[in-house]
Amino acid sequence: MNIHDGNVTTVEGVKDPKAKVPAIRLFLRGLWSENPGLCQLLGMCPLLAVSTSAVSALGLGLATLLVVCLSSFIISLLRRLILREVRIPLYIVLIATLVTVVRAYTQAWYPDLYSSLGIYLPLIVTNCIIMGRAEAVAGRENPLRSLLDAAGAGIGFALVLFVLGSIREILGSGTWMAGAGQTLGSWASGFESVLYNHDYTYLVAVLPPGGFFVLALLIALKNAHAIHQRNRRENRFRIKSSRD
Amino acid sequence: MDDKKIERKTPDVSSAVKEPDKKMSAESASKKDADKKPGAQKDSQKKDRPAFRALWAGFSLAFISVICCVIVLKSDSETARIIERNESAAIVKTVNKLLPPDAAKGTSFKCYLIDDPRVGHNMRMYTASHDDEIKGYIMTYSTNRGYSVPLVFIAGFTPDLKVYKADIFVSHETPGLGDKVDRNHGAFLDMLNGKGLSDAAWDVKKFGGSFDYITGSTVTSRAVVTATGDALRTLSDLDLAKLKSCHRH
Repeated sequence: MNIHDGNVTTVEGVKDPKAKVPAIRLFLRGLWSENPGLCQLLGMCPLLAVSTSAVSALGLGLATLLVVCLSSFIISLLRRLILREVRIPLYIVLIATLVTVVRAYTQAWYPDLYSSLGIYLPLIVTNCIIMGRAEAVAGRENPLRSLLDAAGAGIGFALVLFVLGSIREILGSGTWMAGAGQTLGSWASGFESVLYNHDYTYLVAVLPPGGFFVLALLIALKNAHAIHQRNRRENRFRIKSSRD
Repeated sequence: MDDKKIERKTPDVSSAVKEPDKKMSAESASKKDADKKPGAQKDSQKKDRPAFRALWAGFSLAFISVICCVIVLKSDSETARIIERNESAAIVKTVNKLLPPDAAKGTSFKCYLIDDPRVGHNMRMYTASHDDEIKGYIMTYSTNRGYSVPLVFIAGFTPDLKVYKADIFVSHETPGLGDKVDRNHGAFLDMLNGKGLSDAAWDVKKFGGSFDYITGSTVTSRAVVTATGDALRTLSDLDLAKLKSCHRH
C-alpha cells in the first residue's frame, strides 16, 4: 500500500532489490548523500595532505574527477569481456595507466601544479574512490550510467577537497587561492586574495593535526544535517501528546 | 555433473571445445582457438568451462596490459620534450634573477656537477660567461643542519666569490617558524648580499658570528648562514678543469 503525501511516499513492504536506481539519483548521491569524502570516508590520505591550500586541493580534485570518470567509462565499456576472477588486476592496470597518462600531461602542461601536488598525483591510483566506483557500478551498468555515477562521486570529492582546502588556507595562512595565477593559469589570478594579516592566523590549520580537526568538523556538520532530516522525516506524522 | 549438463544442452559444440581445452600449456594456442570461436558460444562456454575461463582470463589480462603499456610509453615519449623544455626554462628564469646584472644578459651557461661533503651530493654549479670571461656563478647547495631535510639553497655569486643573491630552492622548514627565512616572509636572505668569505664570520651572532638570526627559528637561520659559508668555501676550492659536466652522456 502506498501513501502519497506530496513530497513523501511511504511504501509498505520490502524495497525491490533489482529495481534500477534512476540515473539522476546516481549522480546526486555521489554529491551529497553518499559523498566519498564526508560519508564514505574514502581517499582520506590525499584529502588531508593536499588541502593545505585551495589551489592544490582544487587541482587534485580535478585530476581525480578526470581519472574516475574515464576509468568508470572504460571499465563499463569492457564489462562484458572482463571475467569476475581477474577483474581487480584489470581494474588496477587500467586505472594505473590512466593516472600515468594524466601525470605525464600535467607535468608537461601544468608544471607548477605538478610540483605542488608532488607524490599525491601518482597516488590517485590507490584512491579507493576510483576502485569503489569501478567495483560497485562500472562493472555492472552501461557506460552512460557509470559515467554519471563516477562524475557525481568525483565532483563530490573535488568539492570536499576545495572546501577543506579553502577553510584551512583561510584559517592557517590568511589568504585564499594563493598561487592560483601561477598554478592554474593567468585566468585564475583574479581570485587570489589576502584576507587578513599573517600574524593573526591559526597556524595549526595548515599543519597535519589541523587537517583532521577541520575534516572532523565538516563530517560532524554533515551528520548533524542528516540526523536532523531523518528525525524530521520520521516524526512527521507523530501525534503530539500533552506531555511533550 | 557439469559435463553432463553441457552435453545435454550443446551437444555439437562440447566435443569441439574439449580438444582445444586439452592443449592447456601454450597460451598462444588458446589465443588462436579463442579467436576462431564465434561470440555466442564463447559466452555460454565461459560460464560452464573452468579451463576456458582460465585461458580467457589470462589472455584478456595479457592483452589489456600490453595495450596499456603501449599507451604509457607513447604518452611518455610525447611529453618528454615538453617537460625538458619546461625544466630548462625554469632554470633560466631562476638564474636570471640571481645573477649580477652584467652577467645576466647574453651569457652562455655551463653546468657542472658538484659532489662535496660540505654542500651535498648532486649539486649543480653554473658558470655564466660572456666572451670566455666568467661573469658570475650560480650554485645549488644543501645542508642537513636545518630543521628538516632536504634544505637546498640556490645563490648567485660574483666573479670575486661574494654572494650576490641567495634564495631557497627546496625547503620543508616548519611553516610559520622556520619558513620566515623565505623571501615571501621577509628580507632575511638579503643580509647575505655582497659578503664574501673574508668579509664576515659565517655564523649567527648567538654563536659568535656576525649574522643576525630570527627569534624562534635559530636552527633554520643558522643553517642558512653556515650553509652559505660552506658554499663559499667549496666555490673557492673548486677547480673547473676537474669537474664533471651536468649533461647526460
